[in-house]
Amino acid sequence: VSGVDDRAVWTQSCFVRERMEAMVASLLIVCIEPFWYFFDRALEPELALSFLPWRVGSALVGALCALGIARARGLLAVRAITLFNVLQTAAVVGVLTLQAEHRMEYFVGFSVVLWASGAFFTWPATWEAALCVGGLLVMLPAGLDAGPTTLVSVGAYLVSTAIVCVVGVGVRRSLHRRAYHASLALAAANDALEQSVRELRDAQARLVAAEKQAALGRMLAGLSHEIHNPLTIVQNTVDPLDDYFQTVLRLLDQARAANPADGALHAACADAELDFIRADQAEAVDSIRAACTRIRHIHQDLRNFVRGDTTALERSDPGQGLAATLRLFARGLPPGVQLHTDCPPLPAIDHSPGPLNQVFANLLQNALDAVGAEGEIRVQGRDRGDHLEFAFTDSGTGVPDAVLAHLFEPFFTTKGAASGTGLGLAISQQIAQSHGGRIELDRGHGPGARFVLRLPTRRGAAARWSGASA
Amino acid sequence: MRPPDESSPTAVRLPRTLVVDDDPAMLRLVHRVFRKDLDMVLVDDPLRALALLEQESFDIALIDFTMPSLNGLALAQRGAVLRPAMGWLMLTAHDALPEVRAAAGQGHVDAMLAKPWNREEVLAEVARILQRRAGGARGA
Repeated sequence: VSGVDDRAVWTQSCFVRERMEAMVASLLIVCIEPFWYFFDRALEPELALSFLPWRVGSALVGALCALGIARARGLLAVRAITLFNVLQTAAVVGVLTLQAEHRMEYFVGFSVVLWASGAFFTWPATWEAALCVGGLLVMLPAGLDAGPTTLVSVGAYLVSTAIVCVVGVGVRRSLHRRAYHASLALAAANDALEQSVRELRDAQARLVAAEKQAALGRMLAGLSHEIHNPLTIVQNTVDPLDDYFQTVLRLLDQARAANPADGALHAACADAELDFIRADQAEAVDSIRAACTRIRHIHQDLRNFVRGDTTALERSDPGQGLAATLRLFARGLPPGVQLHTDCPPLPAIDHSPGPLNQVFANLLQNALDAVGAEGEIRVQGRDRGDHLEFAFTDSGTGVPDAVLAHLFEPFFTTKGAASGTGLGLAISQQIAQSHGGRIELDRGHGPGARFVLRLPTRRGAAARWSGASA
Repeated sequence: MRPPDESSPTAVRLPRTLVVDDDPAMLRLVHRVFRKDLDMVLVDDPLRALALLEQESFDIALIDFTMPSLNGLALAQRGAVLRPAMGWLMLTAHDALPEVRAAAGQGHVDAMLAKPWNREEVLAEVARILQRRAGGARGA
């Protein structure tokens, strides 16, 4: 909380407190005033009825003042209305007291009520204490029977009233200030705690996501290794099998040629569709070879993709990882989606291939999600001298303005809980930053979205990505 | 596991080759593919391969890297002590592992081929190793 905010909040807090106090003090006077009728009947029976309209009138004015205070918007208005209310009450009491014989009793009674109604509030009480002193000064020369005993007792009464008022006001103000600062400190501590919890949650989520990525990398590396042996066997068994088959066919041909009269042999060969088998086996062998080649390519792409089994930095062209990632994605594209790639060989830079391929995969997956079943995605890699630029452009609906500010925040997703964790772009941005670069949305592009990853080419820009950086 | 003797009737002597892999299917494959090119002894346990090396000499060994009792690198290092003139070719799926690369770089094995290998590249590598070893022996 800044100093300016602090003062503003403190002023507002004082205003709210004063308004409440002034309103309660005014209402107390309003409630008590009609009951003075019984006080008047006891002390001045012949004047009591003529005093009643003054007292009810003053109470009604007091009620209007309380209403005005409740609706007041500024401190000045609250103080003016309260002062007016205290003065009109004092004026009425003064007028009536001057007509009465028991002025001392009236004065003490009035001041007790006034004091009781306001002593526990801050500034109305201050005014009331001053008013008591003023009232006494007015009434003393007006004929108060002022013997030394009376003066001492009235003086002691006034001094004690003033002391109680002033101490009460001081204590109250101090308590208010301490409570205010305590609540400010509490709010600040609460904010800090909430921030810590948020950061902890983000860090935890990033760790989990990074661990998931590492686990996926390990799994793919293991899978890649497991594919090696069977692929080696299948690939290398085709040729011997083909040889065996050719040998058997050759022997069979020789047997048929040597025994033209062997009807059973010729019939058996015809029954077994030997001519079809001879023609088809070549195609079968070729198709196994082609399948092996395809598996080998997929496998090679997987290997390139998960070179991030480790997060160590290496110096090479990151476009190779992009190409492997694109090939992996290209195999599962919906029929209506066209993927155009334009990435010439780029200069070698220091980077962690695995995490960086994860960035490519995240940006590509976002583009795929944006276009849905039909659309166009363009991926472009360029050497811009001091940095490499990778742009992912899609023909989707673009990024709404409301989403812009939260684009790279953890847990922010527009995809729904089923398909988006809201961590893809956040982690991608972290990986980009660990390479000394960053991902940005090209605001000038439309109507689809264009995300641009920029990586500096200078040596030493990239640091090993641990996945745990906050 | 020793295959039946299929030595060629010609006078050409095939390289005496020790093949060590814990996967029997892989051993059968090696035998199937190279039966006309190499004079092979197939062993599925590296410790047994070491025991065999104490008794017999070979021109070259084709070895796997990942094996339960002893990995290919340790086998090559111990085997080289027993048979210093022998060539070592590692066939591995773990060509990307730093220790395997380091082993190849430091000369603990003569060469390394990544799986999936094919017949021609293995034979070419075997010929190269034997030629280099023969040259080295002459030069020694």
